[in-house]
Amino acid sequence: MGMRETRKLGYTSQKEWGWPSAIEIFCGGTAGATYILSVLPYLLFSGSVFLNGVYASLVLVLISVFMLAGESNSLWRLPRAFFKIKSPLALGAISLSLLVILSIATIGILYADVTSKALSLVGWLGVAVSLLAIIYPGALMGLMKAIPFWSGSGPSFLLLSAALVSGCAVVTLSGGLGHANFDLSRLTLGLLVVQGLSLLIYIIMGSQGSKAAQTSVGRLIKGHLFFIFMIGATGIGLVVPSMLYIIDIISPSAPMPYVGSGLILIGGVFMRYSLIASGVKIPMLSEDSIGATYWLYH
Amino acid sequence: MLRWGMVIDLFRCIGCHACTYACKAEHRTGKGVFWSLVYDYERGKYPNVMRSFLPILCMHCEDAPCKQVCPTGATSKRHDGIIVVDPKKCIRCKACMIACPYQVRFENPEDTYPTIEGHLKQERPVLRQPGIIEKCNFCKDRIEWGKKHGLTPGMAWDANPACVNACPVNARTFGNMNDPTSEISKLISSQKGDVLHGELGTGPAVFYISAGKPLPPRLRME
Repeated sequence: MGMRETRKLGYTSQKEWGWPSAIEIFCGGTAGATYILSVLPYLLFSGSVFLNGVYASLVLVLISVFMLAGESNSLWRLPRAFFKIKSPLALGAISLSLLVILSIATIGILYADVTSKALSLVGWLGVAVSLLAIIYPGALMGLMKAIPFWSGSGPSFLLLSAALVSGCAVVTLSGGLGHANFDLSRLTLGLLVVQGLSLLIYIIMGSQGSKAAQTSVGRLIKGHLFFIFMIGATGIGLVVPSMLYIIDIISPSAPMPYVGSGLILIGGVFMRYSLIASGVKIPMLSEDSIGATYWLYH
Repeated sequence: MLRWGMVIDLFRCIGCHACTYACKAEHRTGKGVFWSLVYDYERGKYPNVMRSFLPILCMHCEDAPCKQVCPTGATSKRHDGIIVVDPKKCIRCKACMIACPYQVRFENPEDTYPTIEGHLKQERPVLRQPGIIEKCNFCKDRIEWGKKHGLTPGMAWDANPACVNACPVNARTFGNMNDPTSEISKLISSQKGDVLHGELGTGPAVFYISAGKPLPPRLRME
């Protein structure tokens, strides 16, 4: 993941993740979810693989890989990132790379009309790899003890639900609304509700956490990230699409799901960015700092 | 079992920054890179103003968050507990910088410049590369050199970390934390040494004491 320098802290120039990381996480997670939603009808319901979705997944995962590779500024060193599997970042590099290969393989099998066993095998492998690609950023963030707002399994659940919603949106936009063997509009609406609840629980838990976590929540709901989070991520990405999908379910109309999907994708990027940018490190010192003269007054 | 550690006496520290300069001189780090530094704060209002100091360096944690997130294994823990960075393996992803709760990891500045890694007769030129992450290594080369020449790190000048030698008030004590007879172990147990951000469970090897006086309540910062 790449970073941008945002602040000077005394002597140190510490780094924080920014927009490139948000786009990378968004594209990687969305690619994984799109792949899953494109091949699951074939794997589970004896339907067919949604080829446009696999193409979309390939494009998105390539964007994610390029973002990941580009930010390290060291392409020839990158293969090293495949060898320490214990690290979520290494798992991410592996899963994204494998997703590129498996997406191409899926497309190749569909064009070559090879046996269905090969397609099933590649499909299930792709689903497993996609899940890894969706979950790894949350797992990495969960390891960041320095940032209490991210610690734990919260980011993993949040990013998983967000990725599935974005995946539904991509499948819809790439023409898969009538392709899926299930009601994609209802599924998207259900996932939007799950994402909204996950986000709400995450925010509530953060507001009851440590001081740094509370500061993070403050950044989101009343700080400098207010517009990006409350209007961009929540309004554009959650509330408005939910209303559009509800309208579509009550009285089906052609443009509603497409407009809703577009808004979901825009809001999805904002959501990832606000989650990343809200991370506040534990302060090294509070106001009552310590030192040689402390004991003169205490 | 060997585990190098350091005790810093906050009551003695006068905020002179000698440790910072000694470290820079020893490792010849780049512009804006400080493997060892001292946070210096003023608080209160005139005329009741006071200054406080907190020397900071890599804590060489037992369960180091930086090591967990490193995707290449560039950050690793040696048998003696020192957390080291292999510049040849670092892919500059900087995840470790974000993971470190103590904010003591630094990115090499943009310009490439030569430096000397090692100590005394072991000097070998190394070309530093921009973007590589660096941090305190407890002057491992001095430790190795000292051990090779029969010296005990923590006891002998030439085997001590540079910051320990430079401190004019002997605020820093270095040694093997797992040796109950070492000075550092005695200081930690007798003066109830505490660590920064102990609530995170990272198991730092840098302890803070206060010359027998109770530690300030806010040592464990939020």
